Amino acid sequence: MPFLQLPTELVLQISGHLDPPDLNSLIRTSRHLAILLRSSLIDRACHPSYYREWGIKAICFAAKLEDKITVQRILDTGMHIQTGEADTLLVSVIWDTVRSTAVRVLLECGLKPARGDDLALWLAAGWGLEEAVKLLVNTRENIDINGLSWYGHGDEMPLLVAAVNSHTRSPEVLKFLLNHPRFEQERYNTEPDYQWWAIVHRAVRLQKEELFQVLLTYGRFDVNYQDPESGNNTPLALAASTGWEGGVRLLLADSRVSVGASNGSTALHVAAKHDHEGLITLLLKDGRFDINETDADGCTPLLLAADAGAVSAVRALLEYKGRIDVNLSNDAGDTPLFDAASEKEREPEIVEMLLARDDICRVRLAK
Amino acid sequence: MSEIKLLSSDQATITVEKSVAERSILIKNMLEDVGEVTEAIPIPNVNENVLKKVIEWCEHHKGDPPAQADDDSDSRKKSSDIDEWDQKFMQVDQEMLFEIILAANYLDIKPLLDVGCKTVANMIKGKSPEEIRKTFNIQNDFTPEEEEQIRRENEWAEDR
Repeated sequence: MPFLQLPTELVLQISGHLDPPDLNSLIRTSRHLAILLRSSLIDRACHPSYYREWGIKAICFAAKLEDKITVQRILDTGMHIQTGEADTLLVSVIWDTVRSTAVRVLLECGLKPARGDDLALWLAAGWGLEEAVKLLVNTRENIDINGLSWYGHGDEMPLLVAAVNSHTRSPEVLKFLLNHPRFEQERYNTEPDYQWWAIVHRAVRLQKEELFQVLLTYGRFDVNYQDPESGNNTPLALAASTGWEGGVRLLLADSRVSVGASNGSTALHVAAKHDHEGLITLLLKDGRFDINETDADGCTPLLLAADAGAVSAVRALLEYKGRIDVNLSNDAGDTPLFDAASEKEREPEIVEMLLARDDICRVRLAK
Repeated sequence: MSEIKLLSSDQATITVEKSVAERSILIKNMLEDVGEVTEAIPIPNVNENVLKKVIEWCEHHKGDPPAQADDDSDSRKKSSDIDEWDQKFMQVDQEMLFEIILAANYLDIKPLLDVGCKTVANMIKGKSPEEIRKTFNIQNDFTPEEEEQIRRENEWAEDR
């Protein structure tokens, strides 16, 4: 007698001893078995001893395909509650699918609010799932849009930081959260746990222009904050040191941003030292920076650039022939030429450029 | 010790201890209904070979405590737990294995049916659809499209 001629009830009884993957293999052998066993696969996955592994996989899969009938069928077993997975079901689904539509399907199928919703929201924001974030915030009254959450190990992070960190460049999630009536901005300026994340600085480091613009337009974050984690630099100084022209441009366009020295240097000093020639041009065009301004040690931008061997920066600064004083020495009495020539890893090109100037002073003057 | 006679489908008479035969709920109920019987009880669906095999199992398990109410959640997970004697007992060709299962089902010997089903389940475990087809000589009658469709439908249950 062949296997296929066993009575249906016995085939069902045999399949009752199979794990979902084995049952699936059996289903895939022939039409007869597919017809007979197809619908039992979901039931099998929702068996208490399989739900944690296979039931969750099944629901994630169905949610991804927006198969509401199957999602509903799995939810109706109540197994997520019985196995204590209800709290994190949404988290699992977001983690597995990274799709807003999957979240929508689960909510439409009546998934009840759970403790893990805050983390689900956090993940959705972190992945830039705009629709999922909006759905969760709009339908879950108790969801916390100001809370701190964790991501794997490490520090707790505010939801907004997750949105800024987001894998996408789309600023929609950030915009939505900032403009939500429940959003409490003051915390970011006053509470240490929030301030520590220095959200504006963070956005500068990430160099996502659209996101950064949303933060600035919002208008309530301290744009001149000197972040201890960023060497007490302001966002402008930080943007200047990383050479992010887009960010510097946005900051300069913001009337709240102070262009004066922070930490003893202006953005121009920082840009010169880090050899960002484009930025030097950008800053000098702005009109608020003095090319000969000295930093806390009495150094001009040119001297800092010469000292750092920043060839492009020196060339950019020397373009401003009428404005630049090439001989200004610092508090120690060093001039740009002296510094360029005495640096260990000196750039002959800088020395040449300076010597080519007819206003260069070839002797070191005592201060 | 009372004995009864069983008559197989191929007309062989087998004598068996009553308590052993009563592992079969079918026979047990029958005996309770008719009381004392002297002539052989016909078992029309089971031939001599299979019936002897089934009786061999019943002999070995005659002292077993009565089967517990089926603890569903547990029994499913432990499908590979088959005691050693039973494993050896089930080392027969597929034909005989299926015959035993059918006989156990007909005679209503639940523990034997369970062991049989578990044995078949173990033959399926860890195999690909193609390997299962080979094992049980199943014809793949899907069109390539159907085969692909059903594979994708259950993709989530594929990898372990």
